[in-house]
Amino acid sequence: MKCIRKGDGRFDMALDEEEWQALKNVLIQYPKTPADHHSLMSKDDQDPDLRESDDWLKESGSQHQGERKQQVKAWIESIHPVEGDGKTEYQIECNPDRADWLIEILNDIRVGCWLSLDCPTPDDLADGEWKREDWPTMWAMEISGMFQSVILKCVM
Amino acid sequence: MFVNAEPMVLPGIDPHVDQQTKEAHDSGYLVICWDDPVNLMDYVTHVFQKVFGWNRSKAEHHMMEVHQQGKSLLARASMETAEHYVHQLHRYNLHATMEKAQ
Repeated sequence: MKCIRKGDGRFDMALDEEEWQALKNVLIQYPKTPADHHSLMSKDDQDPDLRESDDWLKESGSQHQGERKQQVKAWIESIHPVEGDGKTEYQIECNPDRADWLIEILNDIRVGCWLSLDCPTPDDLADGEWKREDWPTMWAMEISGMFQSVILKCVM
Repeated sequence: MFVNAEPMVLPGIDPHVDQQTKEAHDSGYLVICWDDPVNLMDYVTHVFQKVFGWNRSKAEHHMMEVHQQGKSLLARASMETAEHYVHQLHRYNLHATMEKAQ
């Protein structure tokens, strides 16, 4: 994967067929984090002033994810291969808003996978005692993190 | 002749209730971000820059505080503004909460 900076926070990413398929296979999993996962208050704090806002924000989060899911689908369909030098490439133009959008979506998938795996620590992950059925979730968590890192480096 | 008489029951003021409301508005709310093992450090820095408009150095300082101390106090604001910040941080999937400032 290549990243070409164009200034003002804009950059192009060039992905080969395998990289694009990996990115696509991760992105189609959005949303992965439950919309009601977060709360305004910590578990010990039950501020009645905030409870109503909390319910409303959770509902709004669900709506937000629904809209994003449609955007992700449309965005994937908008990316077409470019043939050149006997190989296929996928070129993605990013401005700061697009980069932020992609990073946020990838993070939703990463955090959702982590929750599905029962919130492992880095030590748990390194132990390698994982059931075969967890492998796809671990793959999606790691790949989404890898793409996040690449995009974040381009943004900086 | 009309004589002004004192009413039998005077309107009461509950100083406790007024004081509580006043305190809540005056001292505001604290916005706190908590550590977790899943969000990447560069990602957390990026989110702080986006949500609070901070420069990279300040965002990194708070990110390191979260990483090393388990949490960082990000802002002290009115209830409405604190809710806005926490909601934005949740959209980015950071573990953030708000609580009344003491």
